[in-house]
Amino acid sequence: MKQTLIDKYLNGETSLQEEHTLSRLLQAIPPTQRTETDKALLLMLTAMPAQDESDLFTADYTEEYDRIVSARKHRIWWRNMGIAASIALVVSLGFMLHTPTNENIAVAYINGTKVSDEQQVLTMMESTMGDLFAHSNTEEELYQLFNPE
Amino acid sequence: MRRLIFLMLCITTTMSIQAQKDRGINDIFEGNGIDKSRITETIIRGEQLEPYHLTVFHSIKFNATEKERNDIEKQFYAYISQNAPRSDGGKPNSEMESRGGHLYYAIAEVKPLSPFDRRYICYQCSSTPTAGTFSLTLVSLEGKVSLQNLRKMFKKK
Repeated sequence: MKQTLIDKYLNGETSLQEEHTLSRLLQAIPPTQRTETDKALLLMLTAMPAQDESDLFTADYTEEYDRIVSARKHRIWWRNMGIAASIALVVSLGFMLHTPTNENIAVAYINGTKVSDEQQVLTMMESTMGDLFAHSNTEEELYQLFNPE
Repeated sequence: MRRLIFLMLCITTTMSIQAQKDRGINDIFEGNGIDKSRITETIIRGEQLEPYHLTVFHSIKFNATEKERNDIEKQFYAYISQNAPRSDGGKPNSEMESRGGHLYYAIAEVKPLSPFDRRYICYQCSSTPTAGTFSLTLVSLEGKVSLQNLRKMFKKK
């Protein structure tokens, strides 16, 4: 049967079904026992489509399609996250660097009313700090005792 | 590229977490949670503070309810415990005094906002003639001054 199929194949008279059969017969031979003709034929037959050609149009490629689309979506997600992270970083750095630490400010708000008289604001500060340090505790007494002004 | 993005995400996440961690008492200084019409706020920054060796003075005073007092006291303790510098491994540079089981007066050195300054957070709470309300003062100080020198400068004669 094998030889008949080989002859038909070499004469170009085999059907696709017969070529599949011949391929299977050749593959069934252990590699060490294959003749040069078997090897050559096997090489030629390997290139043929594994399925009926009509399958190319009816086969379900959903999985392949999903894989490709999913990879693309993944790339887009990473790109968008990168953009978001960059913006967040720039905004954060901007806030940090923009903090106006060197401005001269003296302002008070008393129950929502603004007081911008510098002297009055400084007096308020001294009063607050005076009240805060008006306490006397042991540690302070000792400090005053050993560190007279 | 992905590694870079991941790194940037990590940095921004860390910064956000750090910012959240530093909230608490700082929220009050930023005017969050307490109606502005109830508070007396003083902000001084810059040259006016040079005689005191300070760079920033920020105080908030208001009459607090018992619940507000308790909340702020809790936040104060939490902030101090998280932000007290302990570079020398010793106890934090702070003074605290309690009365009736509640914090009455405290000054504590905390981690500075600027690497060139020291920062102190002060707390004072006293009862008012109105039952259930407390006069509460919070002060944030920044500058190159020690606690002892602050006391010397501001102690009422």
